[in-house]
Amino acid sequence: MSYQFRYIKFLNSLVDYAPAIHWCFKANASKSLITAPKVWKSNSQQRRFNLSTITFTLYLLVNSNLAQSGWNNLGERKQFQVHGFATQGYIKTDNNNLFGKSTGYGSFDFREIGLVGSVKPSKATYLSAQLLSRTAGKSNDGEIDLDFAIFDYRIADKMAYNYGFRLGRIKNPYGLFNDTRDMAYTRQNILLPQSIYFERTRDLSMSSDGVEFYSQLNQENGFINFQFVVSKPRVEDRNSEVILLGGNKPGRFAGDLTFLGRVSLNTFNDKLILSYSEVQLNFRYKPTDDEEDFEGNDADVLFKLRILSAQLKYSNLILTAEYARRSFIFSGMSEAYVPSFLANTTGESYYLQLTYLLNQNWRIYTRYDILFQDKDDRYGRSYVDNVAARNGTGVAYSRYAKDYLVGVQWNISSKWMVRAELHEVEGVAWLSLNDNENLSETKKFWHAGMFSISYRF
Amino acid sequence: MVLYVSPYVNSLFIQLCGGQMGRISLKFVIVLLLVFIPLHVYSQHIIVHSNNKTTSISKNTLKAIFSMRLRTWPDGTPITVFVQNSDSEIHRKFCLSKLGVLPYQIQRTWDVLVFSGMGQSPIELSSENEMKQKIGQVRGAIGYVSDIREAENVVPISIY
Repeated sequence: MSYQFRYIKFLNSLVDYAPAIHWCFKANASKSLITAPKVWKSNSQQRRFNLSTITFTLYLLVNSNLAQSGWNNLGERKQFQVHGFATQGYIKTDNNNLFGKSTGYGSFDFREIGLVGSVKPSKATYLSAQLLSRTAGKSNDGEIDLDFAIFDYRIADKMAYNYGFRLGRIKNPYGLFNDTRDMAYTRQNILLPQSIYFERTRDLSMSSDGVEFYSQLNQENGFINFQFVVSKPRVEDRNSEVILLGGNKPGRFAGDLTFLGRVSLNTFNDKLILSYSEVQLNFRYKPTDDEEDFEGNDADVLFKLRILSAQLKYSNLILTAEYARRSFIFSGMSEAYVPSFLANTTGESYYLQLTYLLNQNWRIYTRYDILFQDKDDRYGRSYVDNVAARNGTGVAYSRYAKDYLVGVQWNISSKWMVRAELHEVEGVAWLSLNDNENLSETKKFWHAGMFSISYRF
Repeated sequence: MVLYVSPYVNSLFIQLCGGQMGRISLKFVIVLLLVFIPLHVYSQHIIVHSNNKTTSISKNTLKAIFSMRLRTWPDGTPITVFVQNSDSEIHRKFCLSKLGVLPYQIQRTWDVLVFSGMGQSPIELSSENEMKQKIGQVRGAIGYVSDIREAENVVPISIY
């Protein structure tokens, strides 16, 4: 059956299942409505999203009819494709909460569902968009989000090189895994190394609206990939406010220009991948009139990230390592939100993962992942002193995290996969504050057992 | 199925495995060999639409085509890539012998392109007959089969 018919049948079946799907999302959302930050800040945002989703779906439908006739022609073909994935996880921790209330009986509040459609209207153009629904404790309540919507124009497509540009909502390309982080099959674990791929500020890092220039140079034994993005970051959500400013604040963030670049060297058969990524995110905090500290001025936030990544494959062994330096520079921010000793910090993170392929379907892996929020105060001693000087209580182990894990992966088929992993963690630097409202009630040493089942098509 | 085996081999197995079990295991092993050996003997033919002006490509070009990085033929026709079922033996053989990677590696390459919006994945077909049919219908198509007979509008392309 052609893909076009499959997509139309799928949409028709969605209509039948719409009440059930709506209930599932609603059921999850209602649990978290009381304390969780809303994804949408305003109704107009919701309307704009709905409008763009409907427009895109209509465009795909129209094109699918054109593609139907295009398919049978011996000429150009529209190549309409639909793919998707779904992952359901279970997490149990002994102390602290990860993705919902994971102590006690554990939490099933971890779900990733994605649907991507793409079409090639002409030889040089390519259109693609992805809808994503993510449930992760109180941080993400499963609302459907437009993850990316790209118009890709390839200016040159030769054997030796190609280059072009992309417009729209683009996935931020940095590190080895950021651009496909929600798709379980492209990751090596259930949970990406939190020291680099933070879950708690993911909305900042996921995708941004702008333009990307890309190029590939094909060599004898591999290729060099180059991507450069200029865009506006998506900072409308509340999660980032909670993490960066210590709670929901009356004002809101607004994105300014963001620059991202990644260069990577890949050999064929993945024996070696080397890459360097750099991100510079600019955004502002716009206070309300009631917030007198700001005296009517916006506060600027600059976020810089540099990552060096490497992956080596030797026989059945894969070694992956990344090293990152992150800085947050706040200027004009109220002392109450971000005290001056935290206004300019550079953090450091790195991890090393070893994966061993037992056979075609089974693999085991182990990883050591380290995060320091401040490389000049790794274990939070100065932080505690500074907070005490302001009559507060700082939690030293919230300034770092050391995560050691072992795991196993079973690829049942090309469509189904099961993973299980066990984490031993010291420190709570990457824990979500939505699930752990009182940091002083968290424990320094904790364990997490995770299980996930994934499907793709 | 009645299998005739040399009395010597038969007695060897009986000695190794013991009596009746030996006879059964021997037949089992022979059936297994008959099933699996032919697959190892399958050759891979890379096939393209008969109108395609390109008659041979380098191994690097083949890798670039199947990892979806190269989208057009030298004459400007868009490349449409077809593959067989990801769990099938022929797909596995193709990946190992022609691309030098395991199926999961090329699958991951396609997933990264599809789920980040950077490209598409090949079209997965369910049988060799469907492969031959589609390659014959779509100009600019490329795929692989183990048996090239009874394929219309299709020519093999050589890899150097």
